[in-house]
This record gives sequence, structure tokens and C-alpha cells, in this order.
Amino acid sequence: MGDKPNNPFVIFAKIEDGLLVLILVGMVFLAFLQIVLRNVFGIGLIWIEPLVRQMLLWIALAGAMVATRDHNHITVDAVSRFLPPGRIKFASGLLCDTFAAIVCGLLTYSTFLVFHREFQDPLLGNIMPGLPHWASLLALPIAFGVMTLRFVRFSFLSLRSTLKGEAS
Amino acid sequence: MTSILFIVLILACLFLGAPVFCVFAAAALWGWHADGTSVSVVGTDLFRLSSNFVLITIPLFTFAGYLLGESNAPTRLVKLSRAFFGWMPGGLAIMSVIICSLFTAFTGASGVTIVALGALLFPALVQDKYSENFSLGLVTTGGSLGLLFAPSVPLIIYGVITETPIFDMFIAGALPGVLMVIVLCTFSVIIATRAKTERSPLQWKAMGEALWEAKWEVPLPFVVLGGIYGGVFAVSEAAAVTAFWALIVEVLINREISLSQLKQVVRESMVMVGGILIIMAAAMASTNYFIDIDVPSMIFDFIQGFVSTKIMFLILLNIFLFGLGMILDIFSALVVVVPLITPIAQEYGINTIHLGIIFLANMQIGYLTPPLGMGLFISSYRFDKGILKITVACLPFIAMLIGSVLIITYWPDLSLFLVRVIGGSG
Repeated sequence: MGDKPNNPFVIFAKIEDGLLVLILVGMVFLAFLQIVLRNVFGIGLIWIEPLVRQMLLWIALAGAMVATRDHNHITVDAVSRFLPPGRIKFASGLLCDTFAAIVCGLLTYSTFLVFHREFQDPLLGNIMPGLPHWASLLALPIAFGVMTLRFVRFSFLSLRSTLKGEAS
Repeated sequence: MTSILFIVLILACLFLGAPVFCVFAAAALWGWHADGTSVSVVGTDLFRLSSNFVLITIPLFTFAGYLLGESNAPTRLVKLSRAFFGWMPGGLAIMSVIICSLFTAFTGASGVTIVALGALLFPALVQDKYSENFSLGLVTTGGSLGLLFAPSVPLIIYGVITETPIFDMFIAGALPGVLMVIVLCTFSVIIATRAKTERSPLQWKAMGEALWEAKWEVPLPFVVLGGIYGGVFAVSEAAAVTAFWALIVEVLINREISLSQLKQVVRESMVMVGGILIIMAAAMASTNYFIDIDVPSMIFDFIQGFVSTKIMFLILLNIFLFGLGMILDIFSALVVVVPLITPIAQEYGINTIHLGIIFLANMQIGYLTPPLGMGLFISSYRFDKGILKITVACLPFIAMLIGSVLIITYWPDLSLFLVRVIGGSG
């Protein structure tokens, strides 16, 4: 990835980070607003709770996308921590990244099926007026699609390192 | 044959460092596919993440914790407790134990406590003539102490997974958590008296000043904990109040977090939250499959062959969890193991709430045990000391925590007494 300001990767990363802030701050304010409305005014907006629940899903996905970008997912490093740097370590990285790319690819497919079913036949209805459930379901295949591409990229980087025997 | 190959492959990937959520998702995808069910079941299970309102507490509390850790709140907290407790023998050590556990309860043992508070407490302890080893051990242990107090995220996750009211978990954790704190405080006083550590005199002016500086942060734990335990707030409401409060105080009132820093705090905390939640979602999918093919009763039938009594099961459980804590982090361990052992433990007559407290108390020790205790690594990195030195420094603390865990395990009423008295109200 280059550092040019109009590099599409950089722009996309900025959008992702911006989304994290937007969703989280939105959650904080909506959840707080609900408390104020309920306790001070004795009313509640019926769409706040379902919307905040969807926002939780979105922030989890966006967080996982950024974690993928940073190659910073939670892993068990019981073995990898003790591997000496070199070809074996790169090869194990290659195996893990390829595995992750395949799994994320399948998850993209699986979640797309769910989205498609709801899109064709909207059984779940709306989250709030104007926001159908399928729109939220669409977040899943998009997020897993991005993660797939990122793991594919890491796989190529690992492959290159494995072949060269040094970090690329 | 293919399934055996497949199991070997995903276990290899797990231990070589593939993302944990991919391992769960792979198990679920493979399982349903082999069963002849559409893999869209997995997608539906992932979407279930949005069906539980209590989960919003995880991003909200984590964000608030990171925000407080990034501001000058830890400095003020240390100054405040020094002014109030510095005169007691072992006062500084006692307050380290207490504020670390309070801070960990809010940040969920993610290492923030060691990074934000340990860095302040360690030099202060050494300056007051506590030995370096004692101080290192204390701040490292403090990084995971407090997991049993509300509103700790692992307690919430346990409640969500086992469908136990979160409120009951919070109540059940209180006394066992206090037990651990008391044990460590007693140890600190003994050490301090022997080492003739320095004490600072009690000064009204210093106390007033420190209290005034921390006026915006001091009410927070009282409001949140009082609100939860007093039944004023639901847990999710307490989370919203905490996050809102921390945001307003640190960004708008104290102005210690600039907008660009805020972005950084959100990013860091949400990468952590996303990492946890995606594992949870994937684990729900794989658990769904394991429950479907009845894995828990297979395990139960297997261990029933040589474990017949509740006590034997508990002993085995302690050993198992101790080992588990050595290789898995608390979040992965929770989502993988809890759904499988809860039904088994129930067969042996162990209360699910009590099981959760045993589980977390055990995993807390896992933070400090080599080879993979996260607390050891964070501490080693933060204080620039070797892992071995930190491990040795932690040994007496580990021993005391093991003692506490044994008490917690074999004395169920310690966890369940308060639940019977005030719990069950959701």
C-alpha cells in the first residue's frame, strides 16, 4: 500500500475508521437518549432498541474488518510464538492466511444467501421506518467480502516471503 | 476419513495462529455441510449477534474504559487514593490492589490496567521502598484482578452464553472478588510491615485537592455500581450512562482527549471489541452445530466412566481450566468451552452461576501463568523486564490466587449466598 493521499486503499481505510466513530458515537447517544426519554419524559422511541442492536452488529463487523486490515485478530499463539523467524514461520503464516481467506470467502457466500432470502421475501420487515432488515443483513457479506480480499492479499505476501525466505 | 483430516487441519491452523473466529466458522461450515444442511445456517447464526440487547454493554464499557485510560484519570485516581490511604501500613499497595481491580472491572482485563495504571503505580511502589519484585508482581496481578466485579465484560459474556441474568452474575462475583482483594491486601500489609515501607502523613489539604481534581471521575463508579446493584439501571443502561459520561467528561469538560485522539481511542477499542464479538458470533454458529450433534452428552458419557462424584468433577474442572488458561485467552476460552461444559456441570449438580465464577476465577490466574499468560507479556513489554523475572515476581501472587480459587470452587455459598438473597430480579 502506498502512502499517496488519494490512494484508494488509504481512502477506504479512512472511511472504515470514520464508520467506527460514527456508529459508536451513535450508539452511545441513542442508548443515552432512550434512558433520558424513558426516565425524564416517560416516553420511549420504539425503534431505538432494534436500531442499536443492529448497530452493535455493524460495529462488530467494522471492528473485525479493521482488525483484519491490521492483521490483528485474536489468535492462539501457543506454537507460533516459539517458531524461529524464517521459512517455517512464513509457511505457517501462509497456511493460516489461506485458511482464513477460504473461510471468509465461504462466510461471504453463506451470509449472502441469508441476505438474498430476506431481500426476495422480507419476512423480518423493517428495523425502523425506512430501514428494512435486509439492509442490515447486507452488511455481513460486504464485511466478510472485504476480509476475504484482505486475507487473500496477506496470503500472497506470505507466499512471497516463504519463497524468498525473508519478510517482504 | 475426510472429517479426521479436516479436524487435524483446523486444529493445526488454530495452533499456528489463524484467527480464532475462522476456526469456529470453519467447524460450523464443515459440520452443517457434512450434515447436508444449507451453509446459510451459519450466516443466520452470525446475524444472531444483533438479537441480544445486553451485548451493547461490551462496546460501551470497553470504549469508556479505553477513554478513561487514555485521559489523565489514572493519574488523578492514584493521587487521590494516595492522599486517602497513604498513611496506612501497606497503604499504597492496598490502594493499588483496589484501584486496579476497579479499573479492570471496567476495562475487562484487556491489558489497559497494566498499561495505564501499572505505569503509574510501579514507580510509586518502588519509590516507597517496596521491593521491585513485589511491585512488579502486584501491578501485573492487578491487571486481571477485578474480573469478578461488575461491570466486567467476561462476566457479561458468560451470562449471555449461558442465558443467565447478567445481574445475577454481577451479584455472584462480588464476594469471591472481595475475597481475592482481601487476600492480596493482607499479603501487602505483611510485606509492607516487614520492609518498613514509607508512609505519607494524612493531610486534609492534599485530600481536598486530590478530591477536587477528580470530581468528575469519582462519582462514576458510585453511579454505575450503585445503579446496577441498587436496581436503578439495567446493565445496558449503566453501560450507556458510563460511555456517555466518560465521553462528555474527558472530551468536553476536562478536554484531555482531542478529537483526533478520540478517533484513535475508538479505533483501538473497537478493533478489540470487533475481534471479540466476531469470535462470539462464529462460536455461536459452531456451538449450535455441536449441540445439534449432542457433543456435551458425548463428553459427559466419556468422563462419567471415571469421574463419579461432584468433588472429583470439580477437581478435574480446576485442573482443566488452569491448563486452559495457560493456552487460551479468556474470551476464546469462554465462547468455546462454556457452552460445552455447562450441561456437563449441571449433570454433576453444579449451579451454572457458580460454574461461571469458578471459570472466571480460574481464567484470571491464566493471565499470569507461563507460557502464554497475557498479563506477563504486557507487563514485560510495559516495564521492559524479562518474562522470567516477571513470572518469578508473580509466583507468590499466583499461589494466593490459587488458594482463593480453591475456596471459591469448594464453597459454593460464597458465590451463591447473595444471589439467593437479592438476585433473580433480572
